[in-house]
Amino acid sequence: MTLGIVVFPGSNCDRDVQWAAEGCLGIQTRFLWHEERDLGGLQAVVIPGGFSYGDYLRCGAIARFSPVLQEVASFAQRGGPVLGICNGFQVLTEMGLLPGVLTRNAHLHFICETVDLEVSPGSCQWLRRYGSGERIYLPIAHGEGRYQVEPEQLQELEDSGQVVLRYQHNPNGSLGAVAGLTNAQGNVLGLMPHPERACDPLTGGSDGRRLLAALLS
Amino acid sequence: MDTVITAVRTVNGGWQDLTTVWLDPVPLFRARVQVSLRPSVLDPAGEATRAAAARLGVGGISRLRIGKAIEVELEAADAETARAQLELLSDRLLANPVIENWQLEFTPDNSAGA
Repeated sequence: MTLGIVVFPGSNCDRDVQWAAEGCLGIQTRFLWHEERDLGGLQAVVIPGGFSYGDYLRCGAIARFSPVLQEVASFAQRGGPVLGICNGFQVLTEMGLLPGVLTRNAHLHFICETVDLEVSPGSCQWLRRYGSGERIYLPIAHGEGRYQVEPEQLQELEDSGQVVLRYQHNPNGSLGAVAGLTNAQGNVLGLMPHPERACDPLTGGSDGRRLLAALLS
Repeated sequence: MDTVITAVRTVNGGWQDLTTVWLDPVPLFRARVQVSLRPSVLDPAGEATRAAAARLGVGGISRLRIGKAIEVELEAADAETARAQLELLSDRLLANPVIENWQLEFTPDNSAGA
């Protein structure tokens, strides 16, 4: 098992993901520079947090056109597991792999705190080690995490069980208190909270560990 | 001694006198793309600015929404091609149609290359 970690100019959680996967769980990793096109030998890909290309124009808007993401899109369409954390979630929505968009927090503050989440794993591969309705605690750190989508589309996502992570105390004004979404196939997961920052008990929690551990048989 | 080429052989076997050839410049078009938040989408930055306006002493503002204006110059064969390219750019890159509307201000007569 080798996990690819995408690195854009401006990514800043790539090494945290590497530590969580390799240091805490023994999963081999390989960094994928944004100009790379070779995903050979990878079983899963993470798009980490940060500010890809400075997040100019809109978060994730420029990253979407990077060479590496053309390959990640095909990888996801073939059923390959893809995880987008924070900026990675924003990138997944801009790519159209997940519906909706993440925009400025309702009260404009950059929020950096640990939040209470409810997990509804459904068919999401990444969340297979969590129980339905389980409450977990993960850190968030974002200024643009307010989930927006057309109301009818949100209803469809709810009905199909794609809203897999929900804030218990909505911190940013997200519609439906959405904190994480999966696609219809369950191989793509995007979430604003940072599971990689909750894998090493030294950092104050380990509820994120089982998410990356989904990659282990 | 420098050689100056003044004519070239054409495909039909004749000669083309280069001293009479003019290269047509590619027309340059100017446009402005106005990106605004869709009315249903909350604009917290606009609300914060509205609050500051009141503190400045400018009262009575009932609506203040922040958008973007993008100025573009592009070369294209003709106005129709330019418009198609600008529409693609606006819809796929400059705006995210999930939360934003865009409006293209484009006057074909603005061609600066003519």
